[in-house]
Amino acid sequence: MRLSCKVKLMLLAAFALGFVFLTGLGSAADAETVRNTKGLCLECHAKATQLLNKPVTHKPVRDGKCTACHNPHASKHSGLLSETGGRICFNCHDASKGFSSRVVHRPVQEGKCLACHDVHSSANAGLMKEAGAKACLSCHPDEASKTKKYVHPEVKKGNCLTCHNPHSSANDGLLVKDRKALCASCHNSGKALSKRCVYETTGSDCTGCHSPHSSDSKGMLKAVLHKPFEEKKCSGCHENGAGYKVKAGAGLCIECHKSSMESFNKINSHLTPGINKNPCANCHAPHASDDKRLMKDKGSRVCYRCHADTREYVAKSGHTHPELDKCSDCHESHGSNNRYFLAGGGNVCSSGKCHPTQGTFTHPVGDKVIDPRSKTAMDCTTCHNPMGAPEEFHLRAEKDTGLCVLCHQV
Amino acid sequence: MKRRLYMLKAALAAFAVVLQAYAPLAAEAAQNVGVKVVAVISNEEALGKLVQPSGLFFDEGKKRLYIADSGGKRIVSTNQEYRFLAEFTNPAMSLPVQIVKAASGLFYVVDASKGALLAVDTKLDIVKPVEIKPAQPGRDVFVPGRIAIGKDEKLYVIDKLNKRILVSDAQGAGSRAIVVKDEAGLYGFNDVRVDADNNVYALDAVGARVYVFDASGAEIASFGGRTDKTTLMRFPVSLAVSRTGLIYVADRHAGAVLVYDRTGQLQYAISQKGEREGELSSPTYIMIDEAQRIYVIDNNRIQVFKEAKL
Repeated sequence: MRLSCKVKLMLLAAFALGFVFLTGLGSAADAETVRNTKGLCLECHAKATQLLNKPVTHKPVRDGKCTACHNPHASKHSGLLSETGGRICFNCHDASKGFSSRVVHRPVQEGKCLACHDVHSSANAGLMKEAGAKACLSCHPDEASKTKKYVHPEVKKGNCLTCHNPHSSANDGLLVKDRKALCASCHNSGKALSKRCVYETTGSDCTGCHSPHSSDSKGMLKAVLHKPFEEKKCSGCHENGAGYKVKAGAGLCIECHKSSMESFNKINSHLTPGINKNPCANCHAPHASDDKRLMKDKGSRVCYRCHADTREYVAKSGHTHPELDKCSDCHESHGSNNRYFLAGGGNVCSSGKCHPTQGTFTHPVGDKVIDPRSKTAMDCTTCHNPMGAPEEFHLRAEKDTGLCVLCHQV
Repeated sequence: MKRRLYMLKAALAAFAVVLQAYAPLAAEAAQNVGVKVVAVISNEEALGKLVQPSGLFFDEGKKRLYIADSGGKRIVSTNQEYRFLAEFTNPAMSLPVQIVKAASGLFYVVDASKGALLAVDTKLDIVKPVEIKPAQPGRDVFVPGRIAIGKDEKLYVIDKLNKRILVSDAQGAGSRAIVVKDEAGLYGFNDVRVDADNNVYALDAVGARVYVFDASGAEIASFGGRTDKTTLMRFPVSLAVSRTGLIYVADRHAGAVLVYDRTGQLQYAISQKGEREGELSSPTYIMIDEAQRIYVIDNNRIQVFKEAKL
């Protein structure tokens, strides 16, 4: 049978449309057509019946839909799973609902749902591996800080979810509400509170001065106080008679911290305005902090406020440097004459006490060792990317041959 | 004949459906189309070692390239074949990070060690600070960022902490300010360029946004944003404008130059992440000369690209 050209072209158009739609809808269709195979699977996997004995059971397990997640014939993933990581979960759990707000919990971002949840059944609600705060504290041990003198009642009770959303949130710190509104939802703001605080606090961010989890100071004040704040010399920074209106700009801070300005006068400088009226306040807390440098947040969180792409890159990377959240161990925070704001240039790794033997027994590096690809000097970062790399030891390529042949062409 | 036309239309419609669905992939696939590397400027005997070069300027009259070799504490000049001609050093110029040259022959250099704009007379070996006198004082201290020079010989200086671009004559006088309409999403300006019609182009690196102002300083276009994934910008750090009005954005994390029209539509990308010639490891600065050669500072080397169609 010969088809006319017109029919052929109609078929071509239909094929194109079909290709576009089917590639997008295929996975959803698969989820709908899963059959109850419990009886069949349990014929061999008898132990799996134990999965049904726990109080909370995952719905596909309960319904006997083993093939919702497992391929009965073959798979490239262990456990005959049809996908890996969060992808398999998001086949049923809509990723756009509750998992994709502005701030995403790192395990969710990395598709590591099983870091918190049991997949088949659990003794805990929400298929949680651990009940209550135990689940959170396995990764965030510092947040308990129950050894401190004053502990927030909700922390004491292990109710992390009173303030935090475990998957994603529009607010920093995965808070369920904006910081200002969150505290006020339990602690009535207003005149009474202002009197106790002696400052006008309505509408302000409580965590600017108070530690939300625990503290050794009365009133749960943070550990380190800015001197003018401690001495109640408010007018040093705030306009007299103008409520809590703050004097604008970095110029205010430089009045006292003159030498700090010099640390910005480098080839690479972090003296940028950011979203605050005072650029210093992008990173530093003007009143109190749990960090001796009065940092606004913990470790890399301060940096990631601006360097969101770096946060994403690190999260997706297979191998990263240990303690990567301590950015200022390698980078100068204010300014540097070295690329990437590195404190000791590309060989910062061997310049301190971290890797003192580096360069003495391995591949030579330094000004006289030229990378044949870029014609520039080799340093540690030529082969390693501590921010994240595909290979162990954060190597940029496979260590046996792949890395070497990047430069040593056969 | 009619039937053939009908067939052609139907075929084009089918392809359009597929192309629309995969537009971002198509843009990525356009990488390196018709782009060649004209030169790589890095370590060589006459030039010496470049240490964190940070700024470039091409003198169209003399056909010379000037490099602010920041770590080397010097200004280097080459001919248009990029062969070393001379270098200038002066104790009063410690960390030159930006450079432009006026028709008078004077260089204007931003010295990071002082946070100051300098006028440099290389012939007389004189370095003097230039005081920019804005008509409206800023709310914060003046710290110069990147600079550009217009065809009208006006200096365009980023006033970093006040989130504005100051436009002044060569003596720093008569300064007016260019600001954005809505400062709420602006993290600050990181780069500025001026085209032949004195339209001003500015980049907000953290905000991942490009702003375009007309010669009067009125904002006429902007595109991008931290949540806008369609531009494919990850950490844009520098921008340049071609003769045809296309905006070239050097993206440090992508290791590429992303090319947009003024509406923000991504046209194509040049280069990819890597160390080899033609690849970009960590681009920090981009400039386009009148011959439409594209200069990109990438760590301690400068790569010069040329597009076949330009």
